[in-house]
Parts: sequence; C-alpha cells; structure tokens
Amino acid sequence: MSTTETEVNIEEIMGQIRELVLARKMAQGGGQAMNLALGGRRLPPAFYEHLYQAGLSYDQAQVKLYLSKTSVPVVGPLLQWLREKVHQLVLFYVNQSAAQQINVNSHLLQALSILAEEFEREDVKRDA
Amino acid sequence: MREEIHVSRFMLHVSQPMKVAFVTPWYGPDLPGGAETEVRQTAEHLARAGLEVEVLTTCIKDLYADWGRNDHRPGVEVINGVVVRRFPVGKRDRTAFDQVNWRLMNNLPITAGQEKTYIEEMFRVPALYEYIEGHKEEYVFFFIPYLFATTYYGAQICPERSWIIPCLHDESYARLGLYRKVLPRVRGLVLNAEAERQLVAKFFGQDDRQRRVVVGMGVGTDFPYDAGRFRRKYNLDAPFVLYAGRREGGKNTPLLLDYWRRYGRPDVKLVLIGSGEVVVPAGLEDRVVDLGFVSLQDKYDTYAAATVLCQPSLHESFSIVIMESWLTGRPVLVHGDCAVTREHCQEANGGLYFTDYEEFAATLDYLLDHPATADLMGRQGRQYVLANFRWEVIVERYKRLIEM
Repeated sequence: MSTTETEVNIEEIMGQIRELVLARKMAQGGGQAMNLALGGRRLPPAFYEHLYQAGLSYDQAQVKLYLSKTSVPVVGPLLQWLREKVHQLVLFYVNQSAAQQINVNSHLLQALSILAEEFEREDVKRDA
Repeated sequence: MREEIHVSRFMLHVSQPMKVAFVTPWYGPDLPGGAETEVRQTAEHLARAGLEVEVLTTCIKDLYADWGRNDHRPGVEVINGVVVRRFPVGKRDRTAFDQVNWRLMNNLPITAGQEKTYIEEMFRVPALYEYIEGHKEEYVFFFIPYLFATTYYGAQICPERSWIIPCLHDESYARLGLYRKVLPRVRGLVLNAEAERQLVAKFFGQDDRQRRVVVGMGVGTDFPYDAGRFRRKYNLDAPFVLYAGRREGGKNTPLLLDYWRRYGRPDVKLVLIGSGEVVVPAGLEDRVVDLGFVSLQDKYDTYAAATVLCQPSLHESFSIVIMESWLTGRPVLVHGDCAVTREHCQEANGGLYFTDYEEFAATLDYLLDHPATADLMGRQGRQYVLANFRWEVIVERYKRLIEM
C-alpha cells in the first residue's frame, strides 16, 4: 500500500504515551522508572512496543503464596500449617531466583535501549 | 491448415473476454456483513467498469437463515447490473453440523471425522458445483469467504482458475486441516491487508509460487457530511468518542464500555450507533449516548462530529468504519491486538492504538488534549483512503488480477 507524506508520526506519539504509562505504573507499584527507548525512526515500531511491554512486566517474576483451604476434619489446621511452611520454603528459593531474573531483565532492557538510542544518534549524525 | 485453426481459436479466445464469477454462499442487495458487502460492491463496480460479472450463489437468504431451506427461487436474475445465478440447497444434518460447530465456536479440538461432518453438513449445493464444472472454461472465479462449503468444494473444481478472497481471521476455523487442502492450492488469494497476508503464512505456510495479493476493499469516497447538522439534530455539543457498528461481544463492545466506566472525564461522552442490543452499565447513563441504528446520512454526520472513532474489535479483516471516519477527517483509536486495524493506523498515521486500559486512557487523553494533531491525523487518514481504497483503484487492481 502506498502512504502519503506525513506530518504527524503516530509512532513518535505512541512512544511519548508509553513513557507516560510506564512512569505511572512504576509510581503505582513503588518502583523506579526505567529509562527505556520507546520510540524512534531507525527500528520498526514493533521493536519499541516489545521493549515497552517488557518494561511493564520485567519485574513481575516473583511468586506469591497461594494456598487452597483444606477440608480435612480435626487435623486440618495442622495440615494447613505444615503445607504453608513447605510453600513458604519453596517460595523462598523460587523468589531468590526470580529476583536474579528481574535483575537480568532490567539489564537486558537497558542494554537494548542503549543500542536503540545509539542507532538513532547514528542516523542524526548521518543526516547532519 | 493447422496454423489457420490455431489462429482462429486464438481469435475466438480474444474476441470473447473472460467472465468474472463471484462465488458466495448468499447474495442480496441489502445483506449486512463485511464479506457480503465486499462481494456485492466489488461485483457491481466491476460490472460498471465494463466487465462481464456474475454471482454464483445458493438459494439461502443470509447467514441467519436455515441453511437447509431455499428462501430464494433457483434461477437467474439481474441485481444492479450483475447477473445472479442461484442454485438450490438440499437436505442436511443440521444437528450433526451444530454439534461440531459448537465445539469450534468454543475453541475445542475436533477430529478429522468431525471436520468432514462440519463441511459436508454445512449446506449441500451440488447443482452449483456441477455448473462450475460444466462452465469452468468461461470464467475466472473469486470465492468469498474461505469459511464456507461453496469455497471449499467450488475452488477444488478448477483451482488454476480460482482466486479466494478469504477474509481470514485468527480463529478456530482457520486451523482446520480441510482448508489446508484448498487455500494454498488455488491460483491466488486476494487479501484485505498486509496483516492478513501474514496470517495466511502463519496458517497455510509461506508459498512464493502462489499469488497472494493485497487488494483491500473499495470505499465510496464522495458522501456528504455535516458535523453541525448532527449536533443540532441530537442536541449534543460535548466532545465525544464514537463507536459505530454491531454492538456485541465479538466486536469487543463490552470492553469499550468497561474502559469507559473506568475513564473519568465527565466532560466527554461515548456515542454508540449501530445494530444490536447494548447494556449500558449502571452509573454511566449520562456519559453514554446510545443512538441505535441511524440513517446513512446521520452516520456520516456523526463521524464528522466525533472527536475520535474508537474501533475496539480484535477480529477485523478490513474495517469500513475506520475508512469512513477518516474520509470525514476524524482520527481513529483502535485495539493494538488487531493486526489489520493497527496496520491501517500505522500506514496512514491516522490514529492511535491501545492494548490495555492504561493505554486506552492515555491515548484518548492525548487526542482530546491535542485537537490540532488529532485533526491532522484525520486528514492523513483521508489521504490514505483516497490513495488506496477509492473504487477506481480497487477496480484497476482486480483487472490486473484477472489478467494474471
């Protein structure tokens, strides 16, 4: 399909909007907003959107305790206490691993952002 | 002598131009629906452009009728310059079909045997297939859409002369093995968007030998509209977001209403036009204006008066309403998970898209707070439609396909 010459680039606007959404979500979750590249002309729009979606969920790897109630009579509460302890132990190890994964995710996202920004700078230099 | 015969045959061939046949399960001048509108308007515009166009169809009235009943008389009639040949349907096992179809509608797996039942018991129209077999040398066939028995059986009769206009969606039906026997084997596929081409590659594989041509749908571009007339008639001066189309779960209207419930700008209204029942959530009565089914002129006026048209549907193979909104100079807001509408937005730079509530609210805020940019997006959308989907452009694309 042929496109006409444009005066507004919606991907640039989507980049601004995503920055805003990301900052709001970080503020709601008490986290630190990451400086992600969320728009540019050099890479396809899908790249920035993947980066944005990853930015929204990069720290959602930790697992919460989920324990269904037992209906076993008499010894039920004791059984529940035991199950809870076992679950907590599993969560302790899983969440340690998850924390490391979040750290890796954060570094990867920042590295990709640096790379995207570098591409943009190269384009600006070439155009100049 | 041999050469003379050869030449005279050639002369006969060129003096009798090929007829074009659209094969579709039902046909009528006022049938609603995307594929129904596409086939009717394309056939009529090609006929007006001087091509010999026919429609081969069944005697079923429409999608909602009993597919085992002949509502129309078999035979030939001319509708708006197009010759329509109707063929009778026979008896079918509706219960067996419904059982399998229910599983497909609920995304449940089915066996090869159930696939066979599904296609055999959909509707039976052997006279149509006999006609195609007997007259295949006279036509170039366009089967629309991919889903129906008319396409499955008809396109297998002479695949070398058959094009399919699939109107493909990412749905359980597209995953059935039976369509893999048909779609990749015909002469070519006529697609409505680049995103549909990618969907075809996903379901039926990449095939560089098969012609897969993005044509799109034609849109009438010279309709009058008047935003002021709408505001006077409906006494609505507030800025508003417009939803136009069938109001139903399949079009994601409930999602839009849910988002609207959460969206907290009391100065902005949501206006709904179109068919189907809509339940406005409690507390939203003064922020949602349901106009129901409106006249064509009112629809165009409403587009022009809207701040933005919202198209939340995930399953669009083209979306006429987006094009019509752009033609009146208004931008659009679409669901980012619908590859087709999003592609249109990106190609046209004619609107924004959202994938969750936070993006919906932020994109809508942007359009409301930047009216000059929103106007510019609308104008860019209009340019895009005029460049790509005027009927003259579409007719030329079809003519090239027919010559391929």
